[in-house]
Amino acid sequence: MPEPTEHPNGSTTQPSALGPIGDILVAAGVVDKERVHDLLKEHGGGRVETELVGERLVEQGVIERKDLLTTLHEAFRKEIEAYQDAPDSTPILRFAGIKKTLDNRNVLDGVDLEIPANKITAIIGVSGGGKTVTLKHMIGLMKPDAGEVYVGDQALGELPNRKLNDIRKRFSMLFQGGALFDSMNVFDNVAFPLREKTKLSEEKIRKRVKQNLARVNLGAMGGKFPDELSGGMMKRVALARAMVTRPEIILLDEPTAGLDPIIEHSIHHLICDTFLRSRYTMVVISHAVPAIFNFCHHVVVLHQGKVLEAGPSLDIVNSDNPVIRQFINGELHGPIKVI
Amino acid sequence: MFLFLFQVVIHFALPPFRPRNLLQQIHFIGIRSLFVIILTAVFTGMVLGLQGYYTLSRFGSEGLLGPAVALSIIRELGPVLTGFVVTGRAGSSLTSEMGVLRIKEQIDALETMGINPLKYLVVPRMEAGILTLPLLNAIFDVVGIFGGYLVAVQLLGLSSGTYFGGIEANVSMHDISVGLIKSFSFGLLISWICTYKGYVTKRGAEGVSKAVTSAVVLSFVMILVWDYFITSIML
Repeated sequence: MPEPTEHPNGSTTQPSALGPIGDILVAAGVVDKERVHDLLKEHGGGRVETELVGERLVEQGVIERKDLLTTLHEAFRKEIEAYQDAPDSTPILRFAGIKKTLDNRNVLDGVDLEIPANKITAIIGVSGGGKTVTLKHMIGLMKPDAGEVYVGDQALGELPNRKLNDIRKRFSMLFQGGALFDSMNVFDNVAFPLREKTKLSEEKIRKRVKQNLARVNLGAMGGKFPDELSGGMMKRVALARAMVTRPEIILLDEPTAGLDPIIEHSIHHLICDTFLRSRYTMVVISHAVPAIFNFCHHVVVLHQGKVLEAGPSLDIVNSDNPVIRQFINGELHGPIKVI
Repeated sequence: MFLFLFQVVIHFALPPFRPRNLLQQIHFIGIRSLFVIILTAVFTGMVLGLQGYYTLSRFGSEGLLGPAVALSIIRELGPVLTGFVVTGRAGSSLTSEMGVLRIKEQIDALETMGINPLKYLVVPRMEAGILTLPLLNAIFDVVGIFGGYLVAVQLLGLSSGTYFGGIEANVSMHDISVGLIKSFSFGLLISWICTYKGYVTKRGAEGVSKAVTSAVVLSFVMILVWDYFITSIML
């Protein structure tokens, strides 16, 4: 039986015997329950092994990777539809009237938003619209000029650094460029937050890093340095680093920026896959419209420093708002003046 | 800039301590500057020996060449030139490294992990700067005096007893401590200015290049200004 997941805030989640991916594959009839049981017995069980069930089944030729991805995507699509029918998740992050001026420009001009817990939320909007600034406010990297950011019930406003660091333990962030440390190889980059912020033994750290690199299909790349990786690989390493501390909330700043459409699609699948395994709250900034609507429950549209619309992704994609329509369709003419 | 220094100094005393980071920086600032320090020192000593010999010989005072070379190096040229060399070789690298860490969001990444970037990145660099400058200066002094010896004794025929005897008779502990205090304070100045300029870098590659130029120029000027004040106090 896999051990329960321990979160930084002290809460625990009891996983199912087959693991989240095993449950999905069995429910979809892609694989027999007994086969998954045998597989887990073979690999000694454990929480991470249950999370890696999909990869193990592909490695052993029991299922095709294509079938795994299709099944997971189908499971996620059902979740999106269910969320549209009943968007009932309680907010884990909340902005109340956030204002921020940078270089004499009102980047955020009274932003009120809520991020639902244990869901994937996408923040979309035109470039320079304050999306990254919004993300940085969530984790306390930037302080608002006015308004308040709440993580759960805790206002970040005047928190001393030590308490802010305690709050940050609940987060991980994937930066636009990956922000991998150039002087460290891939393995050490992923191990870094564990070595610095936990008292885990080096043996346990090695095990957890290997498992997280395997999750992003980079198990053999531990010895490479960031400058030897492609853009897509860097993003995957950064995602592995973000997951390795088992946070509650993962913030992803344009995880697909500058990638070709195939890699972009694979990163979206990876995010979706990560969510289905671990049920993290994920906040994704993305320009990958309309693809992103298939990979998130909730969407927040930022425009001119305000939240223009927020809601289930299927509602936003069908919105009549002319700004949203122009943005989704990528039209030159409309309320957003580009040229 | 003063607030930055204040915050860093407070973190000198606060855990966690990362001796490995400190050793890496001592290696980078100290050991990797050694060759260029030795090269600069030997030629500085040689040129002082040459110039000093011809100047002093006009007054029939060649015998004072040893103390002239030693005092010039120990009190002034050693600390100042060591400061210049370390600024050019290591200080510029510190600024560009910190600048790249800033623009590639690696400093932000540290903060999101709950790691204080001042403690993790700046403190070991400043400690290493403060510790290594006096050591490099001491090496500069010894090698510089040896450079003067090469010219004065081996080339121009002054007796080695006159050269070293004059040094022993005229150089006091006060002279040595003036040089070491200068180099200690230059170490603080260089590492402070260079890490600060990198830490606050903005606007991409151009920002990094501007930060490096500004750090090097400011370090050079501040070394000379501070040198004047210390000299006037400790004469």
